[in-house]
Amino acid sequence: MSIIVKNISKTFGNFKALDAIHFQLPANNLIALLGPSGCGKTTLLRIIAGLEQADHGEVSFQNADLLAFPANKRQIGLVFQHYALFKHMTVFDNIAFGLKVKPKKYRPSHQEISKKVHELLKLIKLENLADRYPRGLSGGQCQRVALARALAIEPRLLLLDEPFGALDAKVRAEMRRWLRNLHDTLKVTSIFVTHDQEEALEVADIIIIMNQGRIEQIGTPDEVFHHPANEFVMSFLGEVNVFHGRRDENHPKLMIRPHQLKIEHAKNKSSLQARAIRVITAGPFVRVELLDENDHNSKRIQVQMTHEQYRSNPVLPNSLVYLSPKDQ
Amino acid sequence: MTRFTDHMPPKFSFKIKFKFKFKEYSVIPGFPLSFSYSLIYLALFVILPLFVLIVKGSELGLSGLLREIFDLRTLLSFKLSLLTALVAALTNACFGTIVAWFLVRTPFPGKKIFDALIDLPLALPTAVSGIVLTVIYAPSGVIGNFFLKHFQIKIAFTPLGIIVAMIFVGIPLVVRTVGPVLMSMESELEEVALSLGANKWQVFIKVILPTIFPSIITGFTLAFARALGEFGTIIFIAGNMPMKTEITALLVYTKLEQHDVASATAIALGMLLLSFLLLLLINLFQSWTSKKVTGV
Repeated sequence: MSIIVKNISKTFGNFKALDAIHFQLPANNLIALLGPSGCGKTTLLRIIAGLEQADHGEVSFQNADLLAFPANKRQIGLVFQHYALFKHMTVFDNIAFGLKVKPKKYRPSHQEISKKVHELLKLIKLENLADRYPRGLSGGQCQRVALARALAIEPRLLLLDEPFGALDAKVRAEMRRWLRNLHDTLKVTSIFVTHDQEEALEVADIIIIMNQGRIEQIGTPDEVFHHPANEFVMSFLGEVNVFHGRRDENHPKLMIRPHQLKIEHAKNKSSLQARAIRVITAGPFVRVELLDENDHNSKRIQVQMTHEQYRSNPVLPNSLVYLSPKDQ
Repeated sequence: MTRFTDHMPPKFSFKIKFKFKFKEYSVIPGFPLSFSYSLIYLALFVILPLFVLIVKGSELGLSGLLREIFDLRTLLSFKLSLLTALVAALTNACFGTIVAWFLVRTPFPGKKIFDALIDLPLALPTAVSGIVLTVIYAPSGVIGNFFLKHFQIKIAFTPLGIIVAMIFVGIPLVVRTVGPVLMSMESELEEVALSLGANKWQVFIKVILPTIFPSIITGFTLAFARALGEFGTIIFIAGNMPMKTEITALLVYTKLEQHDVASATAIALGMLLLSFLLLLLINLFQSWTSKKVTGV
C-alpha cells in the first residue's frame, strides 16, 4: 500500500468540501478521481499537490509524509486543464524549467538538460517544435508539452486536473489513449481528476468516485461499473432506467441499464407494457426510447441492443411492446 | 466541377502589394463615425496646438532657434528635467509595482480606502500637493528635518525635491497599469512553477516578472511623461535657481512672463522634440517586450 490518504477534511467557510476522505492505493497505478463538479475532487488533488491546506488529515506516499513539505519540495508533477504553459518561453524552455530552477548543487549541466528535454520531446512526439512558443501550438500539443514539463522533474507522483477538459472530442479520445499508453511505459503513479465517467472507465486502473465531499466507491472500472455500491454510483457511471415498483415493498426501486432490457412483442408474467417513441439506428448500437403505458408522466425508458438483435426483432415507432430484464 | 487550381492566382504577379487599405467589411458598427471623430478630436486638441507651437517657434529662424535651445541655461534645464523625470519614473516603476502587487494580492481591512488613496495625486490641485510636499520635505519639515539631521541631505529646494514631486504625481500611473495585469494573471502559472521545484523568488523572476514587464514599461512611460510635463507641484519644492534647480517648464514660464514669446516657444519646441524621441524609443522597446510575452 503506497499512497495513503488519511481522514482528510477541508471546509471553505460553511461549505464542507472534503469530509474525512480516506483511502489506500498501491503505487504505479493510474487513478481517476471521478465525480460531479463541486464534489471536492479538485480540492483533494490540490491538497496532495500542496496548493491547498487540509484542515486535518494525512497524506503519505511511499511512507513519506507529503504534507510536511511545501509544494515546491514535494516533487509532484502537475498538469492543468488550461495547460498553464509559460507563454514567454519556448517549448524547450517550458520543459526545461523544472531542471533549470534546481539548486546549483543538483542542477544538471546544459548538455544534460538538453538531452533530457529532447528525450521528452521525442516521447510527446513534438521534436520539431522545440523552438516554438506556446501560442503557435494546438490544444493537444500544449497539453503534451505541459505533461512533458511535469515529467521532466521525474515526479514521484503525477497529478492531472481535468487534463482533457479543454480539448475537442476527437483530440480528447486520442489523448486518452495516448495517456494510457504513456502510463504503461512510464508507470508513474498518477491521479487524474475528471467529471467524465467514460474517460475514467476507459483510462484508469482504479476509480475513486466522489460526491459531496465523500467517497462513494473505490474499485477497478469493471467493479464500479458492474457492481456499483449505491444508487449514486449506478446513475453516475452511465445511463440508467429507474422503475418505481408498486407491488413489492422490499424493492421500492429498480435500476437497470439500457443494455440490460429486452423488447418482446408478446406479454409474459413480469413484463411492462410500453410504447416505442423513437428508434435510433445510427451508431454502433440501436437505441429505442419508450414510454411506460401505465405511467405517461414518467421519464422515457432507454433500451439498447445490437444491430443483429434489432434485425431479428425490429421495433416500429409508435408500436406497443413488452419490456423485461434480460436473463443475466 | 471546378478544379481548385482554377482559382489560384497566376504565379507571377506584378501588382503592388502594399497598397494601404482600411480594414475589410466588419459587422462591428461605427467605423466611419469613430474614424472621423478621432481625427477631428486629435486635430483640435493635439495637432493644431503643436502646429502653432512649431510656427511660433520658427519665427526666430533656424539660427535663432538653435541659439535659444543651445543656451547654457536652457540645456541645463533640459538635463535637469530629463534626469529627474527619469529617476522619478524608474523609482515609480519599481515601487509602484510593489504597491500594485500588495493591493492585488493581499486582502486587508480598509483596502478600499487605501485603493482610493492611490488615485489622489491625480485629483489633487498641483498647487496644493506642491505646498504640502514642500512643508514636509523642507529643512524645517518632518521628513526634511530628519534627513538633514541624520544624513546631511537637503531634499526640498534641490533636484531631490523635484524628484519627490515627480514621484508623487506618477505613483497612480504605474499602480493602475500594473495592477489589472497582475490581477488577470492565471494563478495556475505560479502553481505549476512551484510544483516544478521553483522557490518563490524564482517564481517571481522567471514567471511573474516577464508577464507583467510590458505593463511596467507602460506605467514607466506614463509616469515619465507626466513627470516631464509637471509644473505646479514642482515649482513650490524646487527652489527654482537658474542653472541649478530650474526645470524647463519653469524656464518657459519665466520667458513668457518677460513677454519673450519667441524664445519661450523655441525652448518648448526643443523640449517637445527631445521628449517625443524618448517616448518613441520607450514605446518601441515596450512593443518589442510585449511581443515576446504575448505574441501580439
